[in-house]
Amino acid sequence: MGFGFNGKFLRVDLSKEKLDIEEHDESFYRTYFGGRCVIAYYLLRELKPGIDPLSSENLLIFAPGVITGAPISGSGRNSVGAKSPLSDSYGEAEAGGFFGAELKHAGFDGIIIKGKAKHPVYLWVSDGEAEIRDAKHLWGLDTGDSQEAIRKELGDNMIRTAQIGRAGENLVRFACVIQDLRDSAGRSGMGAVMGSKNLKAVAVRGSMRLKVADPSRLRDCSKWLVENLPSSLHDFGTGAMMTAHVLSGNLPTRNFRDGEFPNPEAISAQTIADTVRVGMAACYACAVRCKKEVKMEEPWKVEPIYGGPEYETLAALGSNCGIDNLKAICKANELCQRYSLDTISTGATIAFAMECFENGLLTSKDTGGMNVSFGDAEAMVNMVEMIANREGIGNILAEGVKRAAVKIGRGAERFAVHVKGEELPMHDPRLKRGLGLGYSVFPTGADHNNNLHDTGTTSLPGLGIFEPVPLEDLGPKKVRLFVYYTNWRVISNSLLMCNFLPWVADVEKLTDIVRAITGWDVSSFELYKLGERSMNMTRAFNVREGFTPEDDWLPPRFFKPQTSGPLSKTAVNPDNLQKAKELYYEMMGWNPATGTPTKAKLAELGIAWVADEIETG
Amino acid sequence: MIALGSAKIKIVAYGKIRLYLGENFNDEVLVEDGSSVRDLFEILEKPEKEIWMVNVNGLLANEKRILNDGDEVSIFEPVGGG
Repeated sequence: MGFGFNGKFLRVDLSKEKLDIEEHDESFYRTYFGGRCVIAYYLLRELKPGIDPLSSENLLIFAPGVITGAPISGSGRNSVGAKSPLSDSYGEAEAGGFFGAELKHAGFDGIIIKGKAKHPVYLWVSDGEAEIRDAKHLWGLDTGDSQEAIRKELGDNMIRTAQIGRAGENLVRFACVIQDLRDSAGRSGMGAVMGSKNLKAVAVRGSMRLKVADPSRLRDCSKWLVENLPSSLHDFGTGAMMTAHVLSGNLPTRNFRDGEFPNPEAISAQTIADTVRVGMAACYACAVRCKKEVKMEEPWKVEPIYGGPEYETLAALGSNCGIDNLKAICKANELCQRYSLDTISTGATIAFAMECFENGLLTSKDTGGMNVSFGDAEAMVNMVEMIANREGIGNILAEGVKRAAVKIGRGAERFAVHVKGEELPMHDPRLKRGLGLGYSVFPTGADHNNNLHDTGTTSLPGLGIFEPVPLEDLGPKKVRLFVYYTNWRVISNSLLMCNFLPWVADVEKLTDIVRAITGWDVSSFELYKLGERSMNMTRAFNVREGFTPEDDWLPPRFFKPQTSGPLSKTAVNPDNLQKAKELYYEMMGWNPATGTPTKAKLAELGIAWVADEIETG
Repeated sequence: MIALGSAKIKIVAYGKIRLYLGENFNDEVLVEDGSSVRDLFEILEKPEKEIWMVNVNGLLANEKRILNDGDEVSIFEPVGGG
């Protein structure tokens, strides 16, 4: 065992009810580090191309990284990965909280799960040991009740869980994995994969503290981090800049159609603090404490154990549905945590249904008599229930907007705002042009976490880009900024470190954190290559699954201006996006015509074996 | 009131920028005809490294935007991820 890792992965075959331990040497960890790279490693090596993501053949992988569980702010993060049932592409989601750290402290650097249990089970992992246990009595329970039952059954209130609620059990394609009730590995439908395996929960408890190579150096890094953390996140969490989102045109409004949202402060983090917030919570070892806890008694009861809405949720279930009713958003958010639904895809799917309804593609006959118009808060909350239960129209919407649009037909596709099947998160590419390129080309579909937010990041002095690139630019300078920034930023998904840390403030300081934890003499160059490696491996996975450059594209809505508001005179130019996409491929070392990683590039990244998995360009 | 010309610009500042400009900041500025948002930033002494975004009369604008008499300029911090 080295520093920052245990040297062991837990392997679980649910079909054969078999558990194994797989060991890797230090070079494996220094090549792949954890999270995204580890997930892509196993999916490329062990998954047959073209499998149904909801079949027993899919793998479900829990993967922390070398930073997860170390005593420093931002180390609570972990990844969950599989082939996505929403996009049929590489699938991955991250959560903060405690689960990942607990898994590391239980002696494992990850869990690789294959097969399907004959009946509902949960996995119990504790200090180097594991057991598959019956979960028939837990199936159907909300995540809160299920966690309570597991903790009671195992006699330990500090057990950490990764679970699904009814949405995962019902194979809602955007079901997520809920960790400790408030931390969501939200995107890509990882909860549906868990449900398809009859796996209700993974429960973890560990008492093996992680060894850090240089604790004193890590303390210095910690001090620097705390001095450079954004104070607004500490005070309010995300969602504190709603008015700025509206003034810039970034706040998605009525299914990304409009630009005017009259009362953004009604759904802001400040209003939450003044009304329904009862506390702020932190992830493992973190000084930021950005997680809201809300409590309500009427008109809906909301329990604080399920946390509170983040910006993405406030926009997805709020403005994007034309809703400024904060209490309704808080209730819908709580239901998503109870049932294990991704709040982004849930809100985006309801907004899609609302636009279909307003255009006569859905009628009250389809919705069980319900008026599903933009702005109807009660209908929005009801729709969350219907999707989780696959009830009525909820059964169609549970497939995600791409598949739902096909089922509804009559041109519903024009209201389906997604990339590769994954619904868009709450940032508008008509404002953030580089982000629009990211939505188009990223392996999981429309992802905001590792993306360039052009508004705030205009240069990268630490990586050699010192001339600010204008917001509206989508030319070579922007593509270069995009490539450098996203390749750097995405290392957070392999090291597993929170995205709310000052990623571009000091590249060397972040590198120093890895040095202090692992004892390796890593450089920023080496970590940058880690980011590139993860982007190439995930790209290779998608190429093998048959994805082509045509799949790297934005929904048509973004080539037209918003109907009103700050971006009503501007839109993404498709020719510029096409050129930017081809330039991105070239800068990444991919074939510009096919978007396929070249043999040379894969060899340069030390992963020549990946070339055997794809037809190289 | 800052008066450097005859084109009257109304300024609404948000968040940290409002704090930076101070409580006594007069929200009307008289600028020279043909002034741009960049010129306005200079007048307001925007710190060089900070990014300020602007919305002029309800539309998003950049620093090159020429300001006219009667324009209303909202100034706010860039919206990031999250």
